[in-house]
Amino acid sequence: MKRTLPRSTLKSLVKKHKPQLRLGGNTDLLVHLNFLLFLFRLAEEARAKAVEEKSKIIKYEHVLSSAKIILKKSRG
Amino acid sequence: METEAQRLKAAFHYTAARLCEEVAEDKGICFSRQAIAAVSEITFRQCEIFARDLEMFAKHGKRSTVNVEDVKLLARRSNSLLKHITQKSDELSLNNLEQKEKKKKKSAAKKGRRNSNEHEEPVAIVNEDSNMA
Repeated sequence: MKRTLPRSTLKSLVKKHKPQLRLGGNTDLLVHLNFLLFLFRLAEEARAKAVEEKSKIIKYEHVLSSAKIILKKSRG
Repeated sequence: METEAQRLKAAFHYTAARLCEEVAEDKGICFSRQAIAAVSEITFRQCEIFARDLEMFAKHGKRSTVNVEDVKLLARRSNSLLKHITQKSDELSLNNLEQKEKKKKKSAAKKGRRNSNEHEEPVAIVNEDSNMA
């Protein structure tokens, strides 16, 4: 896994969504951590879905249905 | 011996049963006893989460008192729930305003009476003074 973070990309993404919002200190690192944990949960859920359907490959449908669940769970 | 939690749970159960009855009448269905018990138990557990969240929100706002804004923050995850809560809080604040105005009017009337009394008293004192003199 790549160990470097796209900090400026992350900041610009936040800026795009909320132009008036200022990020203090190293908040973007925490945001990145949150994002990584989100991806982890999404991967787990999609894998579980694939196993449930006896598929050895994670397919589009699995990701779609698990994204719905995980996005709902990740609401702040 | 009944502990506090048990009494609280009993109260939850009673209220849950009442609410379930209402829904049952509305929808024309029946709730089994176990279902009502489960609903009350879930409500009890959920309240623990709510209490912790509200405490954290108040603490984040550097307050020790939970207010309406905290409750709104608690309901932010579901859009429809947030709308409902906001509407209710608006109604509440309106009611409060009306009651305050009523109280103000009442107290103003009382003050008016008191003022009239006070007006009389100085006159009496003056009279006494004149008598003294």
